[in-house]
Parts: sequence; C-alpha cells; structure tokens
Amino acid sequence: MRLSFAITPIRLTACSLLLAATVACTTPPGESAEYDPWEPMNRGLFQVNYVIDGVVLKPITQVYRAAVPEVGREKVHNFVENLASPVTFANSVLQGDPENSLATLWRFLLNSTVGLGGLFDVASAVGLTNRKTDFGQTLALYGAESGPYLFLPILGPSSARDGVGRIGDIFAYPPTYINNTPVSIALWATTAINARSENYDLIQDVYRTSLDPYATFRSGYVQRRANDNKKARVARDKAWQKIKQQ
Amino acid sequence: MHHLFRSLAFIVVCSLLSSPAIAQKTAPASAAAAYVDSLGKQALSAISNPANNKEQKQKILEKLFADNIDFPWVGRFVMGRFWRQTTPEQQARYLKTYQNFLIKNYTSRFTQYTSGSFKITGSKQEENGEFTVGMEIISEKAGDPPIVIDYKVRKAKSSFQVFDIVVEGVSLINTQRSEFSSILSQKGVDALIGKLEANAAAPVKK
Repeated sequence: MRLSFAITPIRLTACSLLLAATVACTTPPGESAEYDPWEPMNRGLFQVNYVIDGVVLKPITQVYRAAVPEVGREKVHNFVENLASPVTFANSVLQGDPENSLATLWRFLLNSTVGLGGLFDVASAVGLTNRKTDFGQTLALYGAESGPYLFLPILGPSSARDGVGRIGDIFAYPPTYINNTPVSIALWATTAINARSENYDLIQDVYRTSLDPYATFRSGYVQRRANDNKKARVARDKAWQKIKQQ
Repeated sequence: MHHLFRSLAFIVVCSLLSSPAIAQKTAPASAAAAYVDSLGKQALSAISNPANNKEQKQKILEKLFADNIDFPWVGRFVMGRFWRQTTPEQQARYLKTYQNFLIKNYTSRFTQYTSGSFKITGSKQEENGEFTVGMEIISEKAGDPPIVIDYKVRKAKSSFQVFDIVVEGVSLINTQRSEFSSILSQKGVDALIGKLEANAAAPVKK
C-alpha cells in the first residue's frame, strides 16, 4: 500500500512525459518567447487541472482558509517547509553550496526539536533563512537546459528538466519512506493544501486579470525559474568566495 | 562598506534636495533612484492613509500609474510583431483600452493593503538612457526573504517614466507580451481589443 501511494506522483509525471513525447513530433512551434513545443498537450492538461482543481483542491482549500486562522496556517506552512528541508539539504550538497547545506541542516535540527516538529520556525529567528532548492535546480546548475515547458495537473507549471527533478526529489522527501498509509496520505494532502493555499491569491489574481491564464502562468514560471536558478548560482559562488578569502 | 554608506548618503542627499533637475545633472542613476523612491512613497502614503477608502485609494493610484508609466511604449512592446500589422485606427483604440486594462488590474491589487515598507537597494545606468532601480519590499513575516522588484525607467520630459516592473525576475511587459501573443496570432487585433475592453469594464472583484 505504502509504495503505491508514494509512487503516484512519479507515475503521473512519467505518464505526462511519455504523453508529451508522442505529441511533441506532431505540433508546430508556438508563437511565444517560451519554448513550448508541447503546447496543445499542455493546454489540455491545463484544462484537466482546472476541472480537478475546481472540484477537489480549490473547495478544500477554501474550507481550510475559512476554518484555520492565519496563525494556524503559518504553523502548517512551517511544518511543511521543515518536512521538505531534506530535499533542500540534499540538493544544496549536490550543488556544492556549503552555506545553504549547513544552514538547512541546522534549520532542520533546530526546527524539528526546539521548533516542535517544525511548527515553529525558530531557525529564522536566529538568522538561518530558508532558501529552498530542488533537483531541477541542481540539474540546471549542472548545465542542463530547461527543455520544453510542461504543465502538470495538480503540480502546476514545470519543464522537462524540472519534471525529472520532481521525480528525483521524491527520494529525499521523508513522507516517501513512511510505512503507514493514513499518515502518508495525510502528509501529502497537507503539502498539497498548503501549497494551494499559498498560491491562492496569485491564482485568483491571474484568472481575474489575464486574458490567457495558461500563457501568463507559463511565462511567469519560466522567468521566475530562470531568476531563481541564477540566484542559486550566485549565492553558491559567493559562499565559496567567502571561504577562499578566509 | 564605506563605499556603500557613501552612496546611500548620496541618495539621501539627492532626495532631500528634491530638485530633479539638479540631481539629474550630477548623477542620473541617483536621480532615477530618487524618482522610484518618491513613487513608492506616494503609493504607500495613499494606501496607508486611514482617511482613504478603497475607491479613493484606487483613484490616487490610477493617477499615479497614468502619470508615470510609459503606456504608448509598453502597449506597443507587448504587441510585438503584430503592431506593424495593425492600422493606425486600431492602434489608437488598442492603446486607449490597454491603458485602462492595465491601470485597473494593477491598482486593484494594491488597494487591499494598508501598510508596507520598502527600500531602494541600488540604481544602475543601462544603455540608451535607461536605468534599473532595485527595490526590496520588506516581508511582514519574519524569516521570509524580501520581495525583489526592479523598476526599469527612462528619462521623460521633466522627470522619468517607468517602462517595466520586474518582480522576482518576472517582467511585466514580457509576461504581457506572452499573454497576448496567442490571442493575436489566432484571433487578431480586434479580438484582443474586445477582450481588453470586456476585462477593463468588468467590476473589480475582491
């Protein structure tokens, strides 16, 4: 049981990749600045996501936001961030970023203990800031191009590279190894609802203001991702400079 | 560190002088920074004034946007290659609608806030008389990193004008160009104008 649930996101991504590969050869290149040769398939998945989201994730998130006050949601946010910090740690190590590796390790140790299992972000209070990273970013720092844009239902905007990164990150994500189905489901659900809640205003805003939400999310993701990758590279190089100067 | 203090002090002095003409002659990049700083302060004083209700805030911000954004240039940029395929009449109609659309959608985003704080982090002169002014919006939650915004400005008649706002690497004009491109290529300019008009006319929802 455990595996079947843990594997679901992998299967989802793998299916999308496979599907993407078959559609890729039949579609003409898009008009936009972003590389989106799988646009017809992506737009289809975007619609699928819109329906799933409208029926399941959005209503649940609305109830969550109405029932849980902001202080409580912040605790959930802290908990989810702490749960994911092994992903950041593993990737900071892979990226050769000593500063973020150590900061993340200390964050995890402090917040898991003094911070009561991650509910309280005590590490931030002592100056250990949270800079998340993931395997897609690691691949980017190794020189991998983003490849075609990819929209994944539930997970949202991605790319061929970042989709592969998502699969890699599952191995560093603690809930993958929890041998108890209800607990594991609860953790994945909490992660999903927290993420949806954090993007709630942004998503509302895009649907309210954009004439083509698909294109707005795509463009925003591609630009933001490039910016974050650049920032990660700069931060790592700065950390090494500091070490060399000492 | 010493250098940082000096340039900070310089920006402060320039904004104290509050004479754009003098500032521009001495150091254009600092003048651009002072300009963006003053824009931020005007917006902040509008939203944080408890005497203003939402409609009043919206009005003040709309004027601030209308006066300070280079709409003809931005409108033309986001159309990309389609601009040349439109008649002057279509262009005029499009620019008017686009300005309404952008002002409405952007100001309504700010009216829900009542406070905030920001700082100008730097100013850099680019080619063709353009400047990039960096701003950080300080997050309300402790531990959250600040939001990094770059304002792209260039000199206008008396002062400056903004032609792009880049939030965490996401450029407003590039995103908008991408948003319009498939509508333009599949349905044409009139369809885009129609959609812009419909969106701008729709009531502002919360």
